[in-house]
Amino acid sequence: MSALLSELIVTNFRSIRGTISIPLDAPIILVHGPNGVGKTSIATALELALTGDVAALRRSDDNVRDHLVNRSAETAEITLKMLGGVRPDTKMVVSRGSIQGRALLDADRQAFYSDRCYLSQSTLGRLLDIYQSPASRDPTNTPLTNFVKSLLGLDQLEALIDGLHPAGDKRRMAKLSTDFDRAENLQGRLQGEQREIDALERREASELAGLRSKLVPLKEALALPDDLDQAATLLEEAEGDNQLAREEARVSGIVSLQIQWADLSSDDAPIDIVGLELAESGAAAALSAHREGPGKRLADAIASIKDMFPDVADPDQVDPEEARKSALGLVIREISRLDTIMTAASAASHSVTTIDQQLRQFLARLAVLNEQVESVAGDTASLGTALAGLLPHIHDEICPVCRRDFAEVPGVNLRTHVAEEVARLVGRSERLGEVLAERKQVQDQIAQAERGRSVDQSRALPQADLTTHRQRLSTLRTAKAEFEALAGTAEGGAELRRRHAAAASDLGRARLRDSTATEIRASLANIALSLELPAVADSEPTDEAISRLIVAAEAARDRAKTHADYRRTAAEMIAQIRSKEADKVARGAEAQDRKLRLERLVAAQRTVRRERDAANRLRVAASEARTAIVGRVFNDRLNKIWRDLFVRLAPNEPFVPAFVLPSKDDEAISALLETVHRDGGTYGRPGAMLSSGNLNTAALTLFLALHLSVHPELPWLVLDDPVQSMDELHVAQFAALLRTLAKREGRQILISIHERQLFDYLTLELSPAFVGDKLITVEISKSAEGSTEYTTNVLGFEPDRLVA
Amino acid sequence: MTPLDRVTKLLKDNSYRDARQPFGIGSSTFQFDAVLTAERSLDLVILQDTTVGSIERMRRELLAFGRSLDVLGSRRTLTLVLAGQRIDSDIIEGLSQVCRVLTVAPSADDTKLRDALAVLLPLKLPEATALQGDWATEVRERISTDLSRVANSYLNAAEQGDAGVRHELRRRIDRALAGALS
Repeated sequence: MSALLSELIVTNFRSIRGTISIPLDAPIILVHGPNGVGKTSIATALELALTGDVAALRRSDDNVRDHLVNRSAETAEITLKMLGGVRPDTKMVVSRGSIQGRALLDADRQAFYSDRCYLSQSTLGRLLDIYQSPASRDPTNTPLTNFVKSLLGLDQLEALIDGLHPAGDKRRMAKLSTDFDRAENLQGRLQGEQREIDALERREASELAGLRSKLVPLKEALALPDDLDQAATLLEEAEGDNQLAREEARVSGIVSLQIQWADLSSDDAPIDIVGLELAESGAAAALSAHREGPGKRLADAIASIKDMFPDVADPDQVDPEEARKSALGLVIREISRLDTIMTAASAASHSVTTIDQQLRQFLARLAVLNEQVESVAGDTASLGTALAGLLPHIHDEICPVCRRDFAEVPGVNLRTHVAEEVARLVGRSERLGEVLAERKQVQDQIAQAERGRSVDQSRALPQADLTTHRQRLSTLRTAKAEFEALAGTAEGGAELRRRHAAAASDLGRARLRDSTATEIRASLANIALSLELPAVADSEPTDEAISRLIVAAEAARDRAKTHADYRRTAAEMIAQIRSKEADKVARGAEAQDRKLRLERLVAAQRTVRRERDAANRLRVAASEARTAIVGRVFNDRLNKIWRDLFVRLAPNEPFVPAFVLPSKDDEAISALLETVHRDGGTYGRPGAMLSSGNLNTAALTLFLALHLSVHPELPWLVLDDPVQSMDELHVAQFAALLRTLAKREGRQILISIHERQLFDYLTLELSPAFVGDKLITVEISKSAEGSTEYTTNVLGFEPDRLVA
Repeated sequence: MTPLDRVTKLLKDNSYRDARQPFGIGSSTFQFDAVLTAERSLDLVILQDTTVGSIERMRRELLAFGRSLDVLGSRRTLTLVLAGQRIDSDIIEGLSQVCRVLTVAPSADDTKLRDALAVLLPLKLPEATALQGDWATEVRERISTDLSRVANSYLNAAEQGDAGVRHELRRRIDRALAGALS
């Protein structure tokens, strides 16, 4: 692309007040003006029109967008025209904080312009920083490294490489994403479960086959249907019909008959039932005779005390002698008890009589004392005291109470009269005290006697009780005499009872034995019938019949038992088979679910693998891109161009700056500088080896080298005041370089200069040298009012006056 | 070959030619041992061997020539190439006021000679490489097209640093696993 900038019109932008229109359609445009008149504003306006941004200024001030409009105006306008570009022109309008308009360059070219065409003050500052910053221990974090990284986009590439690093390794992935970790674990678990279930299925299937084959003979034996449900129902019903229990009962029935029979047949003595009956009736007669005679006396005697002792032994029920003795004992104890009670009661009655007599005496004395108290208690000691209180108030014969003259009473004066009366009252009061003390004593004695009387009264028995006790004593004494008299006869009664009991027992046993034998034979006959055996004939001995029946019954029981065993086994097997089949069905549902989950997970894992694969490939690509970019930039070519440029500007400087070339591709990017002597050999960093003037030259030439080291996408160089001081640069050499760049390398160069001398020199040196060559100079200044003034001069070629 | 001959040859090999001498400016005539010039250029390159010539005479001549050019209103620029013995820096300082001074040591080999005259020579740019592409373009060129959509999301994320890329990677993995973890 051979685009040529052709015109720039700037209105009220930053330092520029008013409108300036700068023609640009020349290989070289020189802008001159003292500091502060707007040289940088022109460069910035150009940048804004081309890239839509003011990146170079923004590096030093984030808020620069707010200050783009000149203080005197509300909006700024920039119009840029271009020949040979995609679009011929653009117009940007800037008002507070907002920029409207479309940049002239596309995104890629914007970056190219910012990085490699425009040497702004801030870029130059950064380049100089590179030399002036102290040596850093970390070569990956030096100003040069950072400059190079941002220039090449290596920060983003390294972010990509580092950020995608986890994709290469499962452990790193697990660290990055907990879901990834969980998915890995889940898959392992599900697969493990699947394997376990498969093994279980195989085991179960073989067990099921074994059960089925074992069931076949049982089914035949029990005549069961093939359908297991029906078979199970049949077996359940058969369980209710308890044949085995019946058979066992029959066997034990026969066995118990056998035992009974053995008992009967063991005592072989002949049975004389008639004799036994005679003996029994004799004994009964003797017993009843006894009961009518002495037995009755005893019974009567015992009956007489039955009221008093309800639990006394009945002589008809127990041994009469025992009954007599115990009754006698009871009677004697009761008599003794009653005697004691009677004696105590009579003593208490006597004591009550005595106390009553004393009480009567005490009461009479109390009455006398009461009378004395009443007679004495007419005047009281208190009256005496009151009168004594009057004595001090009696001074003559006039009564202080009634105001009468006591002199009317002859023979005694008032004072004496009152004193005597007081003495009399006090004497009577002492007597009353003595009488009251005696009365108190008598009252105490009465109370004591009454307490003693009530105690004795409670001990004495009422008359009705005394009568009852006496009647009982009489009854008891009669019974006692009777019991003592019957001592001999009672023993005889007991003996008669024993004999009768023995005779009755013998008779009972004989009768029972006779009937049992008959019953045993009848039972045997029944059993034979139920076993469908030949009947028990009368001639067949009982022992033999029993043996025959036991054998048959036991055989029947064994058959039933075997049958029951079969049924039980078959039922168990069928239950097992059915349960296993049910389990299998249940497992089937679970297995289906697991299978679905596993498939889902495996599919997701495939996606994850694809993602990781993509990430890895991208990482490799980024890594390669980094290597390529680094390799392309830091190569001999860059150093070669840089050297060429540097040598042109500083022909006498033996040390030439150079990049230390990267040795390995994968290393973290670290850009380092060194100096190379023209005669060979590498030396220290440029900051240490070069003078400040040559450092400026190094910075400038590094920028130009970066521009020249790539294909000239945009053939422009915009240098904003690159030379701060003439002394720092070999001006003649710089001019020659600019001329070479413009006229031989086809670059359009816009350079602003603040130093007049340099401007003049460059104007001369860069004069058009052939037909069609052109130089534009612009001089900017400020009027007294502060508005921007400018003059432009377009120099065309004219043949030099000196022909050479 | 004298150093001066080598200078002459190098310059002539790079499109310089002999200037037409002597130069008559007004009534004066200026004549130098060797003067080269180039087409499409206003350069006059004056060559002087310091070993054989008189420096003082040459200095005077040169000052006068420069003054005459100014009077004439010529825009030609003068370059003096001194080959041979080193001369006083004071003199070089004085000469620098009127012309560009380049010195060539008598012992200079080809490289040094070229270095000394570099400013007069065209730039020898090595083979221009392809455009230094944007970093993202560099990456895109290295991946197959099926990857380009995935790559775009990562390339965007790279602007936020490696944490942004990791976040994007995690997001994509988690999205792939979403629904499969129940």
